[in-house]
Amino acid sequence: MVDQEEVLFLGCALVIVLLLMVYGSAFGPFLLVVIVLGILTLLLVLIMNYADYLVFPLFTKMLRITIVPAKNYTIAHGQQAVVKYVNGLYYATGYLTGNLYSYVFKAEKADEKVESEMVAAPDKWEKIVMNVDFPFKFNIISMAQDIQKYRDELEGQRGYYEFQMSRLMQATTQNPVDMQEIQKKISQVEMKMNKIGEGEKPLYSIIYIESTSVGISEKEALDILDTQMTQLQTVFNAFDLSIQRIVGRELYFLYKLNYRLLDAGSVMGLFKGQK
Amino acid sequence: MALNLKIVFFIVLWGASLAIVLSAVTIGGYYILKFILALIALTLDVLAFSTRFYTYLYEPFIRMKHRQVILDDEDPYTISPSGSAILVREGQSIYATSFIKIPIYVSATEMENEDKALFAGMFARVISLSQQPVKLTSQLYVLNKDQYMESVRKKLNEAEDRYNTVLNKQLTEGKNAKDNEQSSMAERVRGEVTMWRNVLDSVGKAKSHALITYASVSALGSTEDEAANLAMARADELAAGISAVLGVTATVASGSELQYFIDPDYMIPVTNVSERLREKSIDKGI
Repeated sequence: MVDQEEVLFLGCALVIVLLLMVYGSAFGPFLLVVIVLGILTLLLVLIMNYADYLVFPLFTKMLRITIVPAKNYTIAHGQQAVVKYVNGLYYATGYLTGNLYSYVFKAEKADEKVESEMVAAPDKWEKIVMNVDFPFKFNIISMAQDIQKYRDELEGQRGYYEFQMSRLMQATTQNPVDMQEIQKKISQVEMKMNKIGEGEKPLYSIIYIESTSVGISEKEALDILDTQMTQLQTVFNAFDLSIQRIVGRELYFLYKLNYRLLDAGSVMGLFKGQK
Repeated sequence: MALNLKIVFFIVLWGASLAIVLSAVTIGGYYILKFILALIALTLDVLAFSTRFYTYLYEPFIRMKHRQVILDDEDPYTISPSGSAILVREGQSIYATSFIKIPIYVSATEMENEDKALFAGMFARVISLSQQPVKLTSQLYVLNKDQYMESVRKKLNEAEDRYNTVLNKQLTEGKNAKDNEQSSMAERVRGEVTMWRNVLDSVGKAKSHALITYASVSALGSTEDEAANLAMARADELAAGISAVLGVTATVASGSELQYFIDPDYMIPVTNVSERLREKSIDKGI
């Protein structure tokens, strides 16, 4: 989903490149080089926007820059872990993120499937805890939405889909595929409204998993952490949470979340790039 | 404040980039100068875009020494005077965070399918309890074996003392008493001694992990007291809700136990580190 800020920043970056290209003839023999550099700039901006977790660690790795978020803590060059140095030991903490769509209100699946996932969840969780032999934290940050506002939004959506449906039905040549698609959307909206009626609350939620390893050198702690993160990704696949390792600027924000929670909007904004 | 700073940096950098581009295309002759200006404009354009994500790094990056970008050189948090919250200062604002311990002693292996669905549903209700952001955490951590074994040793010593007392009483009170209640008491205490000895043996051999579940809430205030009191009020409210939904006694954590939720070195106590490193070495075949 594109937000206003994203449009503003991308638009402004594009304006500079377009100006250079439109007035390219002013650069004489350098025309071609300027056009190529302009395209590269645009590519870099797009990568920063959609995959900055690739650019930022590359930058800090190449320049061997270490970020110090607090006393005794450092963020490794690769931006993959926060390392605490205490008593001559290095404690490296890494993060994974995923989504809870299969388990919470936003699920757009048949009721039976959700029910069976809910039944299997406690067993899966216990198996994970029994099979993992290193420390980890499973965090869910959640915030209940305003029910009335959410219900109004759903009613608005239903009204819009019903209007689309009536237009399709009145059309001279009816398209059954489109009608089926809209009917499906109406059913999904109604399912959500029924769930509200049954007492369920719509949620904003994000999950992240963190694990800590210890070593007598930073490299050792980071190596052990990599193994732990891979193992966690494997075992949590059982939950179908689309688990991904956090690398880059989000790492710092997740580290800060250990000490204080932001409002939900700010927290969720952090993960857009990696979803 | 952060947003304003971001916008200021962006406007300055993007404005400079635009001005340089316009200068480059309007000045006459000197193609090499125009080309250099275009390069500067594109660099500023990229920097302007980078303010979207990295404004917080700009100032520390300029002050960077020995390739270290220092965002903060203070401890990441302090514990409030009341001991019930941790405090984090960010500019003029103070965040306080309180933690609620949720003791859960049920296992899925003891549940029927209906109970499992009910249990999962109860968790779904817990995470939708508050309209303020709440963090629910399940933490598997390495048990501090020394501390735990010390408490088991203490219990073993107490049981052995009781056993000796009962035996002495038996000897002094004669045969009749021994046959009746003293005998059963001695058996019971001896069983307790055996149990604690077995626990001590098994703890020494086995890997020891503990699972704890807790929730945390934050509040923003202009003073430490204001933030801590607000966080505490939210935590109390949430603890009541969790207790009602899950049927457990959720309590607000305080004092040094807060560190178990935050500090990585408390997740792996230093007393267990050599053991873990030895295991890793064996795993690697060193």
